[in-house]
Amino acid sequence: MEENSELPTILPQEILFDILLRLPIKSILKFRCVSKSWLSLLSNPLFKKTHVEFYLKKPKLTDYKLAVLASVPGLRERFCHFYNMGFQDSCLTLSRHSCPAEYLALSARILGSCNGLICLTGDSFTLVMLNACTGMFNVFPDTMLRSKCGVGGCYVRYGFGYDASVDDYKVVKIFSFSQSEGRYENMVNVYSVKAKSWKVIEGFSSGTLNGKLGVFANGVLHWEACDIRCSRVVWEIVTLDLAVERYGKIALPSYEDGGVYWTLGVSMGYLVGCCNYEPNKADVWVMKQYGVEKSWTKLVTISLPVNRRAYISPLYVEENCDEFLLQFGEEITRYNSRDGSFNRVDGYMPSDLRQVQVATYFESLASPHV
Amino acid sequence: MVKLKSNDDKEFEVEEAAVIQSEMIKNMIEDGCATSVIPLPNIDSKTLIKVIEYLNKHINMGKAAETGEEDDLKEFDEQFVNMGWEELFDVIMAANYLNIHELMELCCQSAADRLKNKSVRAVREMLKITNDLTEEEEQEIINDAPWAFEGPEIDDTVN
Repeated sequence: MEENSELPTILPQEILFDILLRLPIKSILKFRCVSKSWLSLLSNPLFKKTHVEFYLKKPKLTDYKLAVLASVPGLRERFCHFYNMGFQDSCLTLSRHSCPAEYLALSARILGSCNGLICLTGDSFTLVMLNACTGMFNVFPDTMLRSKCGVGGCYVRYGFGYDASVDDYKVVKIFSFSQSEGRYENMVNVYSVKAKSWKVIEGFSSGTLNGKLGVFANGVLHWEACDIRCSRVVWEIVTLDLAVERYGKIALPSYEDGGVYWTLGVSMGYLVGCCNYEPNKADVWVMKQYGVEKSWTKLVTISLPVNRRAYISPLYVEENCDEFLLQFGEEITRYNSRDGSFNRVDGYMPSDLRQVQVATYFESLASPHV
Repeated sequence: MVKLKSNDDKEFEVEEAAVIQSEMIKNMIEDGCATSVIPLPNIDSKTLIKVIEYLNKHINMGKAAETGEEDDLKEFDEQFVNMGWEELFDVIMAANYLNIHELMELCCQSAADRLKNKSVRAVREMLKITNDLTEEEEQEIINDAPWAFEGPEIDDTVN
């Protein structure tokens, strides 16, 4: 027997798998070059899938990235920048990183993110699914309504998520038609990345869907909505389960009456709700156990230093619930609950930006082609 | 006390509370199969000593949080994985065989952390892997994601 055979090269594949799973994407792409067996292990769809699941289970702040899409006044084009999130001297930091894909110059809107993939609108009535880490993207057509056009105006809501039951990514497009007294009739189209086609699914009626983009958590898309019941405005979450394509509702925690506006987000897989009060207060809540309304837990009450100009949306909640990353109008702001301080995040200068849209995502090998 | 025997016929006595962190041994005890010495034909005494050291330190994991010993445990873990590749892989193999989840996690993460910034050449040398890709194949992989092969963090040293 050769001496070499006792050395680590004899590590069984499943153990090597376990080790390589813990590498960042850059290292994984680099180490495909080590040997044939490493190449085949690291290119294996099962490896990519397990890698995504591994990060979903144990997310760390530094695994997260921010995609910021904005327009600059005077310029026709919008841009999309990508940032690494980090922690330095107990402060959240952002540092810009380049995306290997140059496609994004014309992108107009972020529609959502899941499993490390970002869905955006492209040009010429297309949608784009992008892995900003590997630079791989998939362009497919957007959808229009086949019928019922011209019944008065309608507004459009999108959602993007993953259906684990069939290993497919889905884009949901909702067309909301105003009925009476704040009620809407919603027609819904769903794009399957696997089937490469749109289909019409059963619609539903609801109050106003305020959430422009569905928030994806637990296989389900969520839109914040308000409905009028007994002449009182009631805020709630409208849900769509992507696997069974069924609608539902989740109650928001109780809030003080009058002048509130809810925004939703997802952090570490948990649904986060932010209740904005006039003129300068907001409560941040987290749903600790998915679908259990009693598990809504208030994390913090934020007092804004100035009266509100925009609503606060939650982007990220640190594990110990001390640090929050919030979108506040065109700004990305770090909020520290221990001393109540606000800090605009370094490396991100919003002074001249308009219509800023932000999505958090994490590094993954997920392919935009299923 | 539970008796463990390494493949070089050395016996070790370990407290039951420590040893049941191994799912495999816990199951054996629950099934009543651990009445005398438990032979571990895959693990040598040098590795078993390391594993037992870990088990004894982590015996009161739950209590550590209450008594503020978390930092102490973290420091122990950092020191613990400070070993050569061969030794680290032996411990990983043992942790895998004994099904000690936390230890497996710790050692695999340590291995990944040591590898992540290494150059391809350094990894091959460190792990004694022969490159069986042709130059063309290699170039194709690099062209696919050239940015992955560049950067100030890439470390070509072997250690």
